[in-house]
Amino acid sequence: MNNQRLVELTNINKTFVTDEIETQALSNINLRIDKGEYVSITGPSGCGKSTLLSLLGLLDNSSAGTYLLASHDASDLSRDERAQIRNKEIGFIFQSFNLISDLTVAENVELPLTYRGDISKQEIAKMVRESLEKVDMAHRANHFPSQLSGGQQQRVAVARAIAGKPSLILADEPTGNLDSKNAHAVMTMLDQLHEEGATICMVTHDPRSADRAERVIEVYDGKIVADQLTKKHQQNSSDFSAIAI
Amino acid sequence: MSLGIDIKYAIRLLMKKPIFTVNSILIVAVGLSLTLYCYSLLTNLVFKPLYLNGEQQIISIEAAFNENHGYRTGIDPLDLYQLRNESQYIDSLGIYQEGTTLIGDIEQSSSTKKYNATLTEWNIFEFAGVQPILGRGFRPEDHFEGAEPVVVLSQTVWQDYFSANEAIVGSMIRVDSLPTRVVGVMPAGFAFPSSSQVWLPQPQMNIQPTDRVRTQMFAYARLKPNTSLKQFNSELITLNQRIVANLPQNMAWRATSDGRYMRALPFKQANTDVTQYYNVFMSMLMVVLLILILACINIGNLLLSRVNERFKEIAIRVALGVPRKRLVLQMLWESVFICTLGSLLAVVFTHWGLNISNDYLSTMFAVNNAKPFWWHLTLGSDGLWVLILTVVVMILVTGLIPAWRALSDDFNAVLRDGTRGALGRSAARASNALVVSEILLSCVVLVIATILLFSSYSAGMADYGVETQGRLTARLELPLESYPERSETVVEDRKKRTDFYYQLKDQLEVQPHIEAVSFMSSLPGTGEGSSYFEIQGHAADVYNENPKANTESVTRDAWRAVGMTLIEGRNFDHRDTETDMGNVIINASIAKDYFADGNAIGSQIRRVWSTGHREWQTIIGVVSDTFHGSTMQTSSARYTMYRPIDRDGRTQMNIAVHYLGTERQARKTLLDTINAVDINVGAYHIQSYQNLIQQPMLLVSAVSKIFLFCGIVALALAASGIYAVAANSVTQRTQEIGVRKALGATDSKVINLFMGKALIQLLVGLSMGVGLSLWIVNLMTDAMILDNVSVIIGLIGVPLLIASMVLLATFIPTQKAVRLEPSVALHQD
Repeated sequence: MNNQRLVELTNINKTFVTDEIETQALSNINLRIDKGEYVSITGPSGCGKSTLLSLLGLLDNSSAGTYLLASHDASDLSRDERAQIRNKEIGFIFQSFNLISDLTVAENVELPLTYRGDISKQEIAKMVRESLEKVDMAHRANHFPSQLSGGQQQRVAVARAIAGKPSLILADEPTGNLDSKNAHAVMTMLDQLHEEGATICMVTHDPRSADRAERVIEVYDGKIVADQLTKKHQQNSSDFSAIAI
Repeated sequence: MSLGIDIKYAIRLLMKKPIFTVNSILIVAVGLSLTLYCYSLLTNLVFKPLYLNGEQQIISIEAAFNENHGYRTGIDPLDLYQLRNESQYIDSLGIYQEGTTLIGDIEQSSSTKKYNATLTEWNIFEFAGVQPILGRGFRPEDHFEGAEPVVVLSQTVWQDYFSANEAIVGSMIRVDSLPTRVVGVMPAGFAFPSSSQVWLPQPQMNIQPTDRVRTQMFAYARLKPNTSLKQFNSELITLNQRIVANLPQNMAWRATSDGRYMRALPFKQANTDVTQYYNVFMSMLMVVLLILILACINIGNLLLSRVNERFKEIAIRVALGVPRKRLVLQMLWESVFICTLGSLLAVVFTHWGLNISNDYLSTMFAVNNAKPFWWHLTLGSDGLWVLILTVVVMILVTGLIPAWRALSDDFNAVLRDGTRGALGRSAARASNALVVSEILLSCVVLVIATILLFSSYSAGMADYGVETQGRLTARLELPLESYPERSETVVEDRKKRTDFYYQLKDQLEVQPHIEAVSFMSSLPGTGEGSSYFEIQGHAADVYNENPKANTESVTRDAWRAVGMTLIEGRNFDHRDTETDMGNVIINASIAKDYFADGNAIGSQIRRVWSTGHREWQTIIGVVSDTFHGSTMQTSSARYTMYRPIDRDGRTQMNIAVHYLGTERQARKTLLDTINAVDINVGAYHIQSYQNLIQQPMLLVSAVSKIFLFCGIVALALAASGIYAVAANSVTQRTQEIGVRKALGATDSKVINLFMGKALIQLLVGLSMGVGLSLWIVNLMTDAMILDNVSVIIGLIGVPLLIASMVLLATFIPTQKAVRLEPSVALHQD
């Protein structure tokens, strides 16, 4: 079981200090995500779910606690080490797509690959092409983000997230800026990625989106208040691998 | 009501950010005051037509500027007479010559004093529309041969020399030793045509000449109503062609080698300094305009940053339905306040700058009182109109661009997401253009300022080949009345003049504090100008392919007092006055460059020009090198030939006195000795040798200081502007930085990305800036020689300085943004 463990948070706290006011964003978080799992994090606005995702994605540091990523301690890494892990092991999908407007679709997708420095240009081109084909956006490779619809932009963002074959895909409200049709398409894409073995952790408000995951973690006031298999997956799995305290 | 609310809101916003407000107002004030100052300087000195009391502007008619010697050239009176009779366009005209004259009282009880004099036509005061405060002006009959000599004094002379004695009119005084009746005193400030302190009538033969003479005559004129200078110059071209074609061989020198002769130009531009440094003045105007553009860019950019800061607020206003016009007006108000307050401050700064400049100009001309009367800088109503116009343009430019930006963004997205995406491509292009233009402009201003400043500094510090410490210099003028130049007694008259100089030299050198005395027509460091010379047996095919040298008349043993040495041959002595063939002493550079075999002594040398040559002269000695004229002036020469004063006996000579003790003591000794030898001889422009050398460079030095100030301002504006643009650009791209970091970019990769972009901007901006600077430097080299080291410092040092500044200005905000955690950067507003 242990060899499948990808993420393990132990007693994680996150406090923000602004103008001498301390805000406890996360409190005593303990969470485990195994390889190949599809987890959704839900909760009301301001509950700390995005902060949790930021910590998982090494976009921020916790104030206390331990974070093991693929059995390596990620709580005390330097900025550059964190950047390297983000680059190789984590793929991000944001609510507002966060494509860089003056780069083309292909350039956006190849961006994380260029940061690796150990992949040849040909290899990068191949990986970009493959990931764009996977999201059905190869025909728009030379377009700029402003020339695409919201749904198309998010598909490009998915392609960017998976191009480097990361161990963990983190999605922050991936359908939040999309209409139902495009939202459905993006969610189907995530399902496919999961079926292909990707580990996905998604923050969402939408219960229907949350239900597409295997596990739903509910956060309230900076604490995990529920961690359970979704109904859809309860029947398929008898192994309750997450521990909620 | 809504207007009042908008104004109140704009004031509140400005008060809320006092540093921003003060910074912006100061940028506007500095940009505008430099523009206003430069406008006032150039219009007062050069461009504003001189009308005096007439309706048509006054023009000057003179010959083509002598670029070899760096001075204005006059016209043959006969040609002016022909012009006066034949021109269809001239309304009124008067002839004049400027010079100096020695004024003394009729009893010769006190020493004479030198004043700037104008030998002019009777109509000068009517032409200027100014009448004497005492007595009368000239009458046509004052010109007649045999008429009683008369003089009109300026108020300065009347007060300074004659203690404002009201009985002066009608009394006799001595003008160049000649008893002359004072007929009038002009009001204070009147110095037409330029810096005149005494007016004397021209002889009739110059007004209605019948023969060609070698006299250099100038004319002031007004054209008939509705006649342009262009029309008159066309007429002049035709007349010139006729005159030049019929010039006798011995007068062919009147025309330039390309056939130019008479020309007409606005009176203020008929000035040696203005002509010589016209391109420098133009460069200054260009530089100041660049600074104004820099200031506009900075203000626009600051306001643009403010719009970025206020996006959410503007989005809410748009959502609440603010009319576009009202929103634009709201955006404009801040600009209106900043620019208006800045302009008021600019008036104060300009006034202050002009006062300083007036003091400087007075100091600059203190020695010779030769400041043209219009060289008094004031802030005129035209200047204020220029200011108002500039402020309006500035308000529109700096206010409308942010307003346009405020109206063109997607406010729906701002309100919906609470964040904006990465910098749009058009905004990125605009930001690039801003940085590149700031780099370009500051590069041009700084390169020029650096080159000019270093050049003028090195000219002041240059080794002119003479000792200047403990040396006093003065100009001596022998009155024509006692030292005449008569064709029938040339030798005797010359000897009389020469004897005076040697007598003075002998009497001075026996004084206990005087080491040595030297007389030269121009002392090293002054007297630029050179002519072609050829060496017997080595003459070029064409005269102007021969080398050029400066020629000076000197007394015997002229070297000791100024620290020069005789290297080879002998000094001038009695043999050089006895021989028909003139003998010369050359400087070491001529000997080295043209007599490499060491055979200079005994060789023959002569001056040549387009239509002839002088007699051959024998080289009898070689002296150490000196440099005549400033090292910055194109007319200055490295080669100098010396001839004995005994062979031309000039009425004006420069003296250098090597003294021990104090300058004051030496000055007294000099004046006392001159008075003892001949009380009628005037000594003027008494000053230290260092001062004498710096004198020709004072204007350039002043302009260099203005350039330096402009350079510092440009650097400060560019630094703050580039920092603001970079900071603004980085702020707008903070989200992008967050995205890049989320995707795995390390801090150094993000910093390198921004620094790389800054490097490209630098490359583009500096290439264009250096190119433009080279073009302007090329323009300036027509007027002056620029120090090579300064050019290297300017063209290499300045780009390096700007590059460091830009990289630093980019690095600081980038690093600040990069230090943010990606999660924070991703949600940056």
